[in-house]
Amino acid sequence: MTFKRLFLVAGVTTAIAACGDYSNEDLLFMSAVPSSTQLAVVLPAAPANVMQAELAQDTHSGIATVNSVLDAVLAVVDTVRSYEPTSRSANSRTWGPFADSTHPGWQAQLEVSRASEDATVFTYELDFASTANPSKSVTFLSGMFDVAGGAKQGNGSVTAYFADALAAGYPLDATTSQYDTLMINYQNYQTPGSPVSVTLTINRAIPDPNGVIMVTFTYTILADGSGEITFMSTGDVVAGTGTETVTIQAQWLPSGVGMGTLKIVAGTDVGLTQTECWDATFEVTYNDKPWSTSEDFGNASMCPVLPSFP
Amino acid sequence: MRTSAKPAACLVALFALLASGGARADVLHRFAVIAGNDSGGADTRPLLYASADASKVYDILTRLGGVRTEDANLIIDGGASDVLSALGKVEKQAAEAARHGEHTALFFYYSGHAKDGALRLGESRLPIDALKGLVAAAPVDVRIVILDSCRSGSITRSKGARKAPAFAIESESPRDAKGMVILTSSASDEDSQESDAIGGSYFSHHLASGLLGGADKSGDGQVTLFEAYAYAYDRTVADTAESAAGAQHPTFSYDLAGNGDLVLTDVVSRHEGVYFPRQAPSGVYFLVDRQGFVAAEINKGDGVDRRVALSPGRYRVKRRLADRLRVGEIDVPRGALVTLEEGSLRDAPFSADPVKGGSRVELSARWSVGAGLGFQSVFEAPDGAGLFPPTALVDIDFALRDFLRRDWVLGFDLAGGSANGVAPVVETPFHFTEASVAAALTVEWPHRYLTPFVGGRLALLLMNRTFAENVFPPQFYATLSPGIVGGAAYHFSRSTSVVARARLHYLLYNVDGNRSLGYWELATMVAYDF
Repeated sequence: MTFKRLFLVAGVTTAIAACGDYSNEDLLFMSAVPSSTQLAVVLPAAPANVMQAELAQDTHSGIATVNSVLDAVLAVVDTVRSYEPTSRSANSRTWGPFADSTHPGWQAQLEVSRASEDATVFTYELDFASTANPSKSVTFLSGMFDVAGGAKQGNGSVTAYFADALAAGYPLDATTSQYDTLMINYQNYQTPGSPVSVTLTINRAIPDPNGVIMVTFTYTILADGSGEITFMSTGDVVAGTGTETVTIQAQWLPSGVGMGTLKIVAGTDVGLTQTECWDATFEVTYNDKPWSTSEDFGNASMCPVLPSFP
Repeated sequence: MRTSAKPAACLVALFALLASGGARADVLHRFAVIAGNDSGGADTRPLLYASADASKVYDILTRLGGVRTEDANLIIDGGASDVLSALGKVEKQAAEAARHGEHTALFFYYSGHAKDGALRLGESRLPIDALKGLVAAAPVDVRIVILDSCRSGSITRSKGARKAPAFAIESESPRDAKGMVILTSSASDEDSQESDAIGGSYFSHHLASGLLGGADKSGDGQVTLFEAYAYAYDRTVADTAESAAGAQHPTFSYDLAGNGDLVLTDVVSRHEGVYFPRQAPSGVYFLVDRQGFVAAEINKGDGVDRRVALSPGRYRVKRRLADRLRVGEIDVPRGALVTLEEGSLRDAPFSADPVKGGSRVELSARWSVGAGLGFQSVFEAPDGAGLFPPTALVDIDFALRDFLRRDWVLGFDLAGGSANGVAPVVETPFHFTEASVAAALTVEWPHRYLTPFVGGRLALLLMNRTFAENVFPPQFYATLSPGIVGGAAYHFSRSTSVVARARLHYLLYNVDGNRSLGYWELATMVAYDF
């Protein structure tokens, strides 16, 4: 056997034997799509036997809504992305189609692409298709991520099309089947040491019992776990006066110690503001409630010193 | 008076003076130039054992032959200039000794190629006539030239050569001897042959066996020049008679004034080796060292005893009978003469012959195991460093020596290690782990202390990385990686050595596209030979 042939055989053998998904490029494409945990809001849960501060309770409720909708949208991305890409090209990665284990009869495919190897903008789509008719797919999720600021600085957006998926027959749960779209804008994505700022808007296909058709959550999570969330809520806030619309802004430390502010923006007593602080067990330490002064408690010095949020 | 002689050398000399018998050990101040070269240049095929033969003769002369190490020059794979330089050095030393009134002798031994009237030392040549002239002109009293090379008999053809067993020479005081003796391994028209089975050339092998004690026909514990030659002659002719190249006849040229026989080795003084008692059965005994080389081949006669001054170590013993073998093992501790008891040998079939005609595997194949630490680094390449971070490795090596061929080593190794890295572009920390299993085929050149080796290796690399906080799923890569390996083992005891090793490997990376990466490894380990 000549040396040339020997090298040829060795090269072919090596090529056949080389396999795996060890790739920096894959990471780059993967990082364009956020995971549910990367955008999730983390606030310690309240102990079960504790009477939570009123606004702490509202904050937990708002965060639960955010995290559940993120999970509904991005958990499937997490699952698909945990596999090795099915195909690779210089400017795209495709995962799937894979069977959607939580929705039998459906399959999912994720494709992440960029215009060129120098491009900083990645776009992606998550499509569902019935296994009975795989050629007819529906886009459930689309988004983009721009890493123009470098690996530590990026901004992106995600839109989930609930109504389109529902119309195509994709089985949604009772909550998300009432949604039209979910839009998320975020920046400084998954960057240890840098804050994550997110605006999450749910457009409802069916108004809620209070007639609300759009809900927006804006939140920022700092690297140390401190956070801030702002959202709007509608209900009978000033007891017995009908429905009010309020904005709630809450800020907290990693321990859970925090402060909330509720401001009436529509309905009775517009402009009044309630301020409430709580400790690490979410028990109230200070409450200033102008429309119900009997509930006032403590003094403002009991409130925590909070970091500044961008 | 030799004031600079070491105590051991003095004892040898004193013993020699006191010893009785026809051929007394002399008090010559002995110098030696010993050269071996496996390479004979472009138009010759490399020899396998010339260097080993030279090392063996060096060991015998310095251990048993009264040549002090500072007076002995061993030239392995050197050129003609190295030999001339050593001769020049010896001339100065001998002249100085002569000024002090000492009687001097020069041993010149060469094992290697000779062609067209010249010794072929690699690409260099040393004309035999010139060598003969140089030795003849050396300021010493006695000159002994031993050439183990093809057609070496040409050097003796002109004068006094005999292609026959040694003849008896009346011995006078060796102090009076002056002149030159030349021994050659073959006649002027014969090739000198090597044998894989004995691990050396026939002539040097039998000469060495004789010097170790096998040639001590008189039984006085001293091997004279003529005894050694006679033994080497008989055994070489016998062994080569049936060979394809034909019988090989050593020659002998004698031109000593004073007719004194010379004691070449004293196998008694060290009281170390193997003793064959009178009652031991007669026959040819093979003593095989741990590397599979026949350290000595002794033809023991009926009713005589023999002592073989082997260096300390463990040896396999074989004696061939008409219908079977008698085999066994014997340990020679340092400073001890061990009697070989016939009862310690056992019957074995010819298929288990550890020497001639037997399986080469059984001849010398042996395992060794080693463990150590290494360091691996992927060469800088696009994404190279970020993909596979520099990694510390724990290595376990298994080696099977002399299985395929003498001095070929079939190796198997396992390695594992881990490191931390940061994935470029996404700047995400990860933990990298690697395991490898590999096979290697190396060739080694065993020397007394240092054994260099070089060869090829094929490794299966299994690499994995997991990311901090599982922000990305784990990634895996497996590939076959061919490479080369080289290094050296330093033997600090008979069984234990320290190995320093370097590897250079090709690494095909084909996930993001085909990229030819490479990596190097350095390792040090402790190895144990079974």
